[in-house]
Amino acid sequence: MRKYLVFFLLFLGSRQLQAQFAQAEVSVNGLTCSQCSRSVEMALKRLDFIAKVEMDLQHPTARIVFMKNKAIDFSKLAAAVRDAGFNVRSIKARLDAHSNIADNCFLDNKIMYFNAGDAGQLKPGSSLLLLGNDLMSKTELEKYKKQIKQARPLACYQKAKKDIPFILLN
Amino acid sequence: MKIPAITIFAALLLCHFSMHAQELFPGTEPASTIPRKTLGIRLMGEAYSEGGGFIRNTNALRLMYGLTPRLSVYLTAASSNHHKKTLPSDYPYHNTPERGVFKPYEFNGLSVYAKYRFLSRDEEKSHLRMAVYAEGSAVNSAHDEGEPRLMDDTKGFGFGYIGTYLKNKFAVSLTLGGIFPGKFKGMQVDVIEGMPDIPTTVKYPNTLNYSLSMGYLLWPRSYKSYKQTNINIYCELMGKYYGDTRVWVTPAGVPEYLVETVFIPPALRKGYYLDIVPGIQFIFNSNTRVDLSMQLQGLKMSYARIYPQLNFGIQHYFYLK
Repeated sequence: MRKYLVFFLLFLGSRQLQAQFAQAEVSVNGLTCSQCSRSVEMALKRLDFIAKVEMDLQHPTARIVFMKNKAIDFSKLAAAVRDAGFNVRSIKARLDAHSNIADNCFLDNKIMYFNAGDAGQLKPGSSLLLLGNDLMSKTELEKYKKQIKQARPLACYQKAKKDIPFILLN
Repeated sequence: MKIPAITIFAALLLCHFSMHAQELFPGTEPASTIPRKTLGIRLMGEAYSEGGGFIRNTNALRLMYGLTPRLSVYLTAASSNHHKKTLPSDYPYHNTPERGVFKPYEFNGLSVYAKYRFLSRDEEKSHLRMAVYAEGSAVNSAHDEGEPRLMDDTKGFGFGYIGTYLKNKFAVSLTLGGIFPGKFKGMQVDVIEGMPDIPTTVKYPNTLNYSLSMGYLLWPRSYKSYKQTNINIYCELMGKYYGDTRVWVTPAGVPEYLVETVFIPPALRKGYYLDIVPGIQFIFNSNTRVDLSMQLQGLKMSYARIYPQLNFGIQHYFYLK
């Protein structure tokens, strides 16, 4: 019985480690030279949950592939952009195609993500536009004002260390 | 009214290129700071001909580090053949600045600089940034002219403000700062052979330094890869406004006295100037930066150089783990 319990707990642990996000597109404000883009890329590569970074130099955007089985923290990602001397304009994150998320509120790395938009149902592979002061510029946040519900976040996980609202893109 | 063809051509050229503004000015610092945990190494050189086969040059090695995203610190070691061990004989009445004589190429000393970016208003294709800076120098050279420079001429400290605005095709940066040099205490050789050297103290004047810098990206027309060589052009207006230099001398058998301002030459008197500094910059692999610029006389003149002065810089960033 004890053996099965240990196996069950290990299984639960492995599920928790499984990152729910596979990729992200991070648009950056203030990037006007390729040297600046390179600085952002190098700052992002220092993060242990990032497997690959590709910079789109024409539309200053970092295309990121996340490591599997690593805890993803978008605030750290935004801080890395600031470390390079720039600011995040917006972050679009894509859920893993094999994620087990089907609810509009979910927990990943002790962070609660909840749908602050007025439509849509999450499914594996969905794209989310992350909201929040450090994850989006004020100008960009203004653009999505109409789509954001004024409701309080759904408290689907009471013990989450922080919450990140999002709008479902597709 | 007939518009000259060259004006139309220049305007078309400016409009044709889908330019991004550039603020990596060869001669001045922008309000932007070095990325955190990044070490920059910059090698700088300046040279001008003094006639008679003498080329004066200054070289400096600068280490730059991003302590935080907003705070950068620099350490600069400078060397030049601009100074002798002693001030010129009959200083300050004659030989100031002393031209056409051998001066050894020597290490001048170290200076430090810190810049803090306190405002960032970043948008997709524009930004406004403001920073303050402070600098200090342990350099203590026998510097002939009144105009001070902390990097290689005089000890002292300084601070100032930098504002950089960038929008689509246009980048402009303004620097306003103060330099507060210390005193140099040294010797000058007496003009009468056999007499002992004359103790001389020089208080270089407090100075306002100002600059207005502009930059454009000429190539590439659109960014596709880090491997594209960037070519940027710049025009910088750089100058200083300074007061009278005060000189105390103590010839043998005479108590120390302050030389009256009416007796001091123009190079030590209150003055101002504005140089025009066009420049071109190549950035290889989106990292190694090579700057070439030429310092030309604009308004009034600096006595610390002979025009034109050629400036060179090469800089590379190392992204630390």
